Amino acid sequence: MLAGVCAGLAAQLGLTVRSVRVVMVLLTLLGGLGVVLYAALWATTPSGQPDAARPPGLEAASRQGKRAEPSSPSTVSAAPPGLLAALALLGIGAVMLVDRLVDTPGGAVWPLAIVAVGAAVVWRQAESRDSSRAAVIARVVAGAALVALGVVFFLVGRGDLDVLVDALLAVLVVLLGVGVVAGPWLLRLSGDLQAERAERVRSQERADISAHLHDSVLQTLAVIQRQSDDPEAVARLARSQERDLRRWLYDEPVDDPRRLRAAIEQAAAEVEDAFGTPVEVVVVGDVDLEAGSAVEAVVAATREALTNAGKHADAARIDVFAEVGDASVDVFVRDRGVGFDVDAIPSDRRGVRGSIVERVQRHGGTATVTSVSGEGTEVRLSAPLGEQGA
Amino acid sequence: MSTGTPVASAPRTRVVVVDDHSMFRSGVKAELGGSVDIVGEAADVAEAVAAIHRTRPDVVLLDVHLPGGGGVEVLRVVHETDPSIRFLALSVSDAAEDVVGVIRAGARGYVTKTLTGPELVEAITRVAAGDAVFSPRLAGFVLDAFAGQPGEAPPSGDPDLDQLSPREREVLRLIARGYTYREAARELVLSVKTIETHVSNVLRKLQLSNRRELARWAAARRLV
Repeated sequence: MLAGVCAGLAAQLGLTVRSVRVVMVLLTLLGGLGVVLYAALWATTPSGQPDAARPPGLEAASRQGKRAEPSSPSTVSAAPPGLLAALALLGIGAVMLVDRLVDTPGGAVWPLAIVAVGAAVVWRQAESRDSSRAAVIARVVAGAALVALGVVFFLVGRGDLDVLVDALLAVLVVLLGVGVVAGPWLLRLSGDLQAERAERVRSQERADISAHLHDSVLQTLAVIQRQSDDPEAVARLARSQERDLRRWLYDEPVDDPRRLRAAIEQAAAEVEDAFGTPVEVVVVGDVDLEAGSAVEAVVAATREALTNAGKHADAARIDVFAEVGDASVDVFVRDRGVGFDVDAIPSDRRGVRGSIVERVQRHGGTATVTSVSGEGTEVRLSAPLGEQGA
Repeated sequence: MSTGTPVASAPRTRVVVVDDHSMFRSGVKAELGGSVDIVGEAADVAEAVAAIHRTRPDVVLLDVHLPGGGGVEVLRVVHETDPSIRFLALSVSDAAEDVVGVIRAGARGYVTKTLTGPELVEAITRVAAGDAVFSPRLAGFVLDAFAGQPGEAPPSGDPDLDQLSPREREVLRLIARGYTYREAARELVLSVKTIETHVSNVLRKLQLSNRRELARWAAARRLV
């Protein structure tokens, strides 16, 4: 609620935000431990999503200015004024309460509160890396000023101001001297360190990229040259390499084989490689394959339908469309190939009837095959969701 | 009426090709040269804007990723002075935010670079005629974006913009399944013209709706 510590903790521990908050409030009521814990976690926990890694292709396009993109997304969102006011009032109320309840020497509570706020401003600064330079400086200066103000108030309250002025002067002179001597050197050192770190990250990225290109594109090109007299093999290799590279460059990494989307893409890739027919896959929504035995049957039937299309249809392209709805999963496999007479399949033969239609029906789904000679074939598969098939 | 054959007298579609890969540009020219007039080409945003202003083409074939701010920037600059120029976006990237981004910036369609020559010619002709062109993938994105309850959308004034009609959903599903407009029309027992109207309406919703998913995609492209 305040700095998102509860939410962060909940995400880390896999609990609900509400339960973490309840525990925090309980701890607070039992002797104030919750507040201390909250503050400690706030100070030490890194803010979420330090750098959400994007696929390298999009990253590169952004860096080269080929995509329109905000220079930095508004991570430093301004807090609504209402919230700020509420926080300030809460703080003042807390200080007054402590002032009333605890017998502090020389009215030390207000100065301490000011010091705390100043320190919080400076510490928070160490975390947000995206803000502009001017904002950083402004916040550090403001924080330091608050801390100094608090210290001065405290000492004034105790009547030690004269001593302070002398001591401050001495410290200031020494600091200035050290700054003049070591300043430039310190500046250069920190610059060097940053440059070195950036360079190391870059060279690691370069190594990753060349390794990937070597394993994939280079190998494929070598094979293509060797098979250059077989246009079908060349087309197949190029298509398979394109798919691989495209996924690496642009797709979000989703490789959970227990999900519908990954399973269908996997089946499509295998058919492309085996028969050389491009397969266009469009999936809307996603679902666990465990969502029902009929879903797994539908995926298996999809694979079978793709294989049939690749093997027999002689089509330029196969389209697969899968949609996860509220009550069912529907998959369509379509080609514009030679087509066949559905009724003419001998009933004793496996293939379309056994491995597609009956397999899905056994698990409570439906499957229909429509085909027109010369126009192509479409297999429609549907699996109910939410209830287990027979 | 009596001036030569209809084919010869029909003006050919004038096209500007914008892509920063010269190999791809020459490939497109070789493939399309027989069917449309390639009147200009460009490799970045500034060149594209200049070429479009100079030649005033019927259709601009626009790469999504382009030096100088991307295809979105070309759309923005050209449509400021000349909203009548029609754009067909073309990309190897299938990232949803890029696809939705160019459509919301005003492109009349989106196709991937793996499209065959004749398919690309048909798409260009369609865009030139003022219709929308949806690839199966774009249809999938739209179904995804308009899935679920429209109530999540911010109050945009026009609730019709924030959801698809059942008929529009049916048409999009058929396109996602790989149906051409003609095949979809036959399947739904409608005219091709009706299918085109539905797709154009979906395009309008895609460009104007404030649905959360669209806003999220568009926000990533600084379009809202």
